[in-house]
Amino acid sequence: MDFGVEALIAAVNLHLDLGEFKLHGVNLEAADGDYMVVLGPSGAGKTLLLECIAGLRKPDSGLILIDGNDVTSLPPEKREIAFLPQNYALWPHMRVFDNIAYPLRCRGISENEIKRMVKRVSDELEIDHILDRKPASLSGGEQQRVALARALVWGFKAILLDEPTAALDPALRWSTWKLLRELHKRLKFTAIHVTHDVAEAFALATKSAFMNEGKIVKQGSLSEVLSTAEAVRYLGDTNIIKGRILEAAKGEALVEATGTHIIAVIDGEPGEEIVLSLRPEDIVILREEKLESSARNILQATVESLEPQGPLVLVHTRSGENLMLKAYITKSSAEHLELKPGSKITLCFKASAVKRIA
Amino acid sequence: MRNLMMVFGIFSAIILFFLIYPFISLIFLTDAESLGLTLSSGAVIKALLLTLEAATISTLILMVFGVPLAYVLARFEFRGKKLVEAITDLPLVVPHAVVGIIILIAFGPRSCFAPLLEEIGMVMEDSFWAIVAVFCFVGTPLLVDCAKDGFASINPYLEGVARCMGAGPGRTFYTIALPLALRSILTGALLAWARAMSEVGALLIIAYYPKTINVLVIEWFSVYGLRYTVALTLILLSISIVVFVVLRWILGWKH
Repeated sequence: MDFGVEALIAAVNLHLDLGEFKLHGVNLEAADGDYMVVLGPSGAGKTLLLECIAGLRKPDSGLILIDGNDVTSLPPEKREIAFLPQNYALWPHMRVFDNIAYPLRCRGISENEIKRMVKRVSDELEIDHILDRKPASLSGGEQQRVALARALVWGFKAILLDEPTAALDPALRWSTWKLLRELHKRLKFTAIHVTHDVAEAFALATKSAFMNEGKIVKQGSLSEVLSTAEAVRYLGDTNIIKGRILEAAKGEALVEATGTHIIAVIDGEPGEEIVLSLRPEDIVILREEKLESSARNILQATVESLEPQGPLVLVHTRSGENLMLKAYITKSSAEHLELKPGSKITLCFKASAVKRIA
Repeated sequence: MRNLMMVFGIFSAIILFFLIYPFISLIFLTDAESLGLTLSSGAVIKALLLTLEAATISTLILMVFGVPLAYVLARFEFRGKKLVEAITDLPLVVPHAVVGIIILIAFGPRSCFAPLLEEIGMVMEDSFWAIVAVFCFVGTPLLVDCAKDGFASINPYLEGVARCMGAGPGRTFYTIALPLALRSILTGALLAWARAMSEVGALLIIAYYPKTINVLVIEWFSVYGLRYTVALTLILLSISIVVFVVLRWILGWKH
């Protein structure tokens, strides 16, 4: 039966009611090679969605399609989808080698070939020195790499990742994102990765979706997804800026973001892709084009829209090629500056107000 | 606080004395000569071997049938589950003599199952298999409850990920669930085995012959008196202590 869906993995109108957690007509598509990040708050139904795709839960209604075929009634072992849950689910009674070799043994591959394949993936993930150890003796980062190796050792059609960095400290999270990015670039696997962390989405997503209250609110590029009202509410008003470090010295970096240069007090290496945050109350709006200020960042911008919020106004602006920034201003200041859509303004903010989040 | 601890200490010492003194007095009352005579008695060796064999076979039978039941109870929700759990635990509250009588009624020579059981060489009265049946009956709740707790304590994702990795339900059971619940299963099996070794009430009704070691103790006590039974009791006690030590070791064993 042709369902007219070209995606490698698709959830079509999924419904599932478990009381506390629900799916309400979820539609999601991930094409071959996509790194799809499903972003959303806790309790949005993200894990439930992954469990339905993996075959660990049967939806009340709706379809799961893999390669255009309906697999909704197929057991997990027939779907060829690897699942990496939040706690990694490494089998504690097996050595790391046996954990990684498990999918290969399930497929009756010879022991010599298993050794070769485990060696290859463990070299790739730099865990070849821990193959004889039991999972309980590994650090969180090592456990995560072993779980990834187990998911990558066999050519699964896709990998489902459920908040894989939630239990890691910030430094380890950054290195995990880097690792996942590099692995995805090299191995071109298809992934559906759920997280509540916007920085993680920025760091990894080639495609993304925003999920809330059991529904996919929007699916597309990350900027499209984050522009939805639900996503904006979830994110708060914080400006999220994706960029690349051009120069870095003495704890300061010059970052290129959508054709605009921003100076930030952050660590990093030139060429590094990063994600920055900037609170809207840290941005000052001026009407003068040239001014002297201690603020290191002075950008020319155009007002896109004004959003009254009680005594404040949230001013949506556009700088450079397409850098969208939001800034708070009092209602009286907005009137004094005669701000309206199309007004030319200057935005000022300190380098120290820009935080690196990924 | 100090006075309270002193009072509690005295109370604790009294109850510990109450528990340990019978063992000590038994050891002091037993002389080497009667121990040697008892150990070389053909009737004792025969009864001991019979009891060990019946307890071991009943435990193996329980593992074959009880472990799947424990897994079903731990992993699946179904209508009537509470009833199944209650039936499994029922032997815990049934008096020993009643166990003997109901097994005799249900599976004895005059029951509807008798022709079928005789066909496969099992006569459920005064026979080895009658002893095994009693041991299975009284051991079921111990093994099933322990194994069920073991399976229930395994994170379901450990099995779910195995399924995603390509293992069918059977492979997932014996490569993931079974090894992870092994400690609980062994603990349950050992408790069921120890329970079997100590059973006597039901056997007096359904299988006085062939004599198990506990039936022999009761017979010797009634016929010859206390002194004649002391050495035999010490042998039984030693077996119980070995089982107890092994049980403690398994409970402390980690992956």
